[in-house]
Amino acid sequence: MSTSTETLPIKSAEDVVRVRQVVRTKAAGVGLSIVDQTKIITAASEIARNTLDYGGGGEVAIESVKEQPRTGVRLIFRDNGPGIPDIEQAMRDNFTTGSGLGLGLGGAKRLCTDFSIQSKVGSGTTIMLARWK
Amino acid sequence: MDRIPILKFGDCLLVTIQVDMHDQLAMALQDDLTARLVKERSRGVLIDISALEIVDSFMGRILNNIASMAKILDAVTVVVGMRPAVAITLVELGLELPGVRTALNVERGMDLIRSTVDAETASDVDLD
Amino acid sequence: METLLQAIVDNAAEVAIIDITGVPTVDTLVAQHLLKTVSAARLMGADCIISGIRPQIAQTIVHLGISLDVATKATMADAFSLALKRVGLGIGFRKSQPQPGAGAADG
Repeated sequence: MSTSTETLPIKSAEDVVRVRQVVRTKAAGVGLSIVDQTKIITAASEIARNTLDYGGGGEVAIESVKEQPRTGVRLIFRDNGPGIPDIEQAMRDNFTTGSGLGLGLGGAKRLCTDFSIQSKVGSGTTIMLARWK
Repeated sequence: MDRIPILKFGDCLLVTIQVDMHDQLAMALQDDLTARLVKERSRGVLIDISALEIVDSFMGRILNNIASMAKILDAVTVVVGMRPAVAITLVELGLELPGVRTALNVERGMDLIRSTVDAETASDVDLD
Repeated sequence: METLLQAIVDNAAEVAIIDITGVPTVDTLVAQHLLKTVSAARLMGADCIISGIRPQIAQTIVHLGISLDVATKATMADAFSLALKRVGLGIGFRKSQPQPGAGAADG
């Protein structure tokens, strides 16, 4: 049984790249397959960009989990931005308030085995992603 | 700021993406490519992404944009070397890049550009 | 899916034939998986051809409202012939050689 956590800031586009790199290292470290690694890195990239663009920046805790019965990586993104008024609508494909394709949230969820989102208007958003073996 | 190098090869432009790009770098590539297309009057753009470990929705959108902009500038874009895991992830994400032509490797990609450009040139002649 | 896509890379294959003769039934999940494989192969630069679709499967696909936007052929042989055509090859008798058995009938 072991877990190790690394917390990174998300304040710039370069930070998003750094998040991808750390997620890759953690995912490879716990022995996820190449496809599973690619999926969780891509999901992390989507959410990190949302945190930066819509949440006004924030941070992510990247955790490698090796405990019975599961092995994998878990990511928790937090921002203190404006929050999401209608989560159901935001999760839908093709919905966007920005200039994106609107595949970020729904797409990221499809790439994960666990996904949860909590948001409070005016105080911020927390999103949890995980990919288990 | 860093730039992704663009090579000119005959009437084609070649780009090999070998670093994990941040968003501004990808945007800069889009700007540079369209500028070079006009300047060199190129007919084809080949983008090698065999070194890329992920393509997310932003990068997917950039690839789609480059292909659409090149089309307006009378050039064909071919993306080559996408890794299987990247392809699976993009499909799962819902990004099938319908506007982008693809090939397995640089050689096949150049063949595809050549045959597409030649076919277009031939049909231009027919119209006259 | 990964095995097929990796084989496409390893063999630099322009065309992949997916023969589903041995598949008795197809549900929504299987059909979607098949289509995802075809889309992923296209992103990598390879074309897929699906062969050996049983009548029940054709019915299921239509009833499920899934659009199968991919080349399909009845048999593996037809698929193989189309695949050869796609890469600019073909199988036939050479004109210069007598065609075994068929020569007389052909005149």
